[in-house]
Amino acid sequence: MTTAQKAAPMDPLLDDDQLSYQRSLRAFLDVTWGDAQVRADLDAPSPDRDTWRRLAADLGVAGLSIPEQYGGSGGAPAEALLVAEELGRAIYGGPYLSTVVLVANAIVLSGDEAMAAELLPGIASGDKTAALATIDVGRDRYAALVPEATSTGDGWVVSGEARRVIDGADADHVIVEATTPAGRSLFLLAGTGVERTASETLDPTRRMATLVLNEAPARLIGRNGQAGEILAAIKPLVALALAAEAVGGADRATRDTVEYAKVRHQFGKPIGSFQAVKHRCADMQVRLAGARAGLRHAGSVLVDGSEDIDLLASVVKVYATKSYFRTAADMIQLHGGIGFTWEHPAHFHFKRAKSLEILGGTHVELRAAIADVVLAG
Amino acid sequence: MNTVAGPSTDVGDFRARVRAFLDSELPDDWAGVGKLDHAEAREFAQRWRASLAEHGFLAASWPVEYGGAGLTDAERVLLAEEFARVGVPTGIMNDIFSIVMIGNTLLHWGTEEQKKHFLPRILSGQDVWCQGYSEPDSGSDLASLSTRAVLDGDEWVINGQKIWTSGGHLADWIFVLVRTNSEAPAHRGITMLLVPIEQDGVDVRPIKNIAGESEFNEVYFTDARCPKENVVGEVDKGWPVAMTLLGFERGESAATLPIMFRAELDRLLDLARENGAAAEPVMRDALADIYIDNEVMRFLGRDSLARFLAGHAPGPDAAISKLFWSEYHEKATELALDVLERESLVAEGRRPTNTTLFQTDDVGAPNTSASWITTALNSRSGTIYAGTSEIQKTIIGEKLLGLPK
Repeated sequence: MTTAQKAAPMDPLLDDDQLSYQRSLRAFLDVTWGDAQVRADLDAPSPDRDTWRRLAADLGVAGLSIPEQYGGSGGAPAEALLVAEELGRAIYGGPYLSTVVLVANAIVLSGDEAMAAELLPGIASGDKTAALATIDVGRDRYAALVPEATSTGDGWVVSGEARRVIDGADADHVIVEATTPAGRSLFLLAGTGVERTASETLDPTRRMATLVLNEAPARLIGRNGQAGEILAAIKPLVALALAAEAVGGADRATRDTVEYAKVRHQFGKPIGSFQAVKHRCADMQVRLAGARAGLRHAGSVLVDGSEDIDLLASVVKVYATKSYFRTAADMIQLHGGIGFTWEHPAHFHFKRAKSLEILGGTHVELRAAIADVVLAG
Repeated sequence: MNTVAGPSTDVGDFRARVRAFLDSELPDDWAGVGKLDHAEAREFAQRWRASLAEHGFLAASWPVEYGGAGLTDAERVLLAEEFARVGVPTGIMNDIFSIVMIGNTLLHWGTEEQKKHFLPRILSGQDVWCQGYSEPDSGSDLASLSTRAVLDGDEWVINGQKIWTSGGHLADWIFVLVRTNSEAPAHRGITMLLVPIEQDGVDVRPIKNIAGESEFNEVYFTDARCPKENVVGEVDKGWPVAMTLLGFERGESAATLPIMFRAELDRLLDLARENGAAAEPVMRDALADIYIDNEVMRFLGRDSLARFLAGHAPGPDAAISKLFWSEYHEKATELALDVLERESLVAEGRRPTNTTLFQTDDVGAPNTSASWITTALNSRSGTIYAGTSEIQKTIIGEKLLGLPK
């Protein structure tokens, strides 16, 4: 109603370079990671590496979290969240979460320069993948033997079990958290003495494995007893990457459901004309808007450090992943019978969303952590 | 007039000037209207309004020639934000109707004569306005309204009934939507008239709300009259004029609601710490959950502010923010009663002064049971007025997502 006003923008909190990067990622994934590739990768004996190499080499997705001296482009946490968001939209389950979000960030934050020089260039280029096995058993009734590391004089050996290790069956490098007399520490496995068994996962697009370690030779990363500090430091980055995947997935699920509600006719009308359906779609959009606004805000706080990032990341993670789960559940419901079939992608969203809710701290755990902060004093 | 700000003012500089104004006008120990009792708060509101008018801050976005400060969008938002931060109102309750609604509508649609006549009287406080839109049979479906007006010589003669007229008992004038053409389709036979309340044909009767307060009214028109020229826009073309109100939300609430609701949440967290609720796992979980929703409101505010200040018209995404804050506030105040627990059975202590149109209690208000009970009851109106939550969802579905009617 006043001066020349532009059409509603896609996203007012992204700058032109970020919007352009987002477009490139989306265009690449639209072509390389459609529904057919998602399904083909499920049945493949080992996960796709070609798309991952191109994501790393052509689009620089791994390097965003890696300093320049180790082959990355370094220090672009807001752009890294854009990557996770687009991968979530594409229901991509490749090595980004394990290799970059968990391992590259852990190595950078460990301050272990020798290890960084050895591992990070291969990760940045997309040639090498990596997995991180943490002691994070929660309420697991079948908790395995917590890995224990023993010094051999000139090195270490680790024994025990680690479950639910993302990309643990196929990763080129495996890092395990293990106890030592000095506390919890991170170790890079040399490769022998480890038995890896792929698991059947709730989210079939996200591979996990059980690792059984039997005096597996390993090298210490960072300082003995430093694991707690490193894992605490990567925790907000992990939470936000999971939130970003949830935002991307929820956006896709919302768009696809709305489009279906426009074309599916019953009683002679598009089902989207019925308020019961329309209002559920509106609820999807409201949740998505809130989650995305939170993610953008968190991206800016990662850059300027203006707020408590642990608190903020917990808030955004809980809201975004719960929102995605609700939206994915509604996607199945609003599609009716077809939404309950394997052929329809709704179940990928549903499974991915529940898995994202639990990974990186459940919403019950994170709400408890939030309460500890906001009710302190 | 002592105009503090002008359109060319740099925002950083402007913030300093607003803060200097607040420092000089408020007592050193100022901690919000909530620290005043009701009589003091009423007295403060009148004094504060006069001071705002004197400094050009009352209708600060209006052009200087009509008594405003001609602020830019960024300055206007900043002003609202600074006022919210220190807990002072931007006017009295009826200024929502007088300044934000009809004043802005007249600036957009009014004749030069209407602007010159009405706007100064609004700023001086001589005329206080209320809104006559809803009718008993026309709520969400406003365009079905049936209050009629017919021309009798050089006067309109009005018959019918309006309802939910907030502040009607305090107003001298009402801007009212009337049907002037019953042959035309619903949206094309409506006219906006400016009608004086002090006349025999207008009867304002209070309605008591669920909090026991008489804030809104029924307004009966029985051969009520107003001059022929008191039409805003054109005869039978009042619908777009009426809808102009939707565009007056221009970033202020995106900046101020998160501040207000955060201050309110901080009081709730204080209460939980004081009475032991903060030690109970179930309450801790619920408080963390409401904290998350409160934060999401801040994120949405930041998003829509960025959108607006980048020059994008306020669109249907305003429905998202209305839906979100009103639903949030019901949830937050329901939780407050659970935090109060047995104390919520009896209303004791200071009540809200109701200057913020059913949103939060006054900044600085004590953590009394009467405060939370009244706020919780009043919060139920948030999901009803200015478009129910159901209407907002329909707007989101149809205008934002493109779902069919």
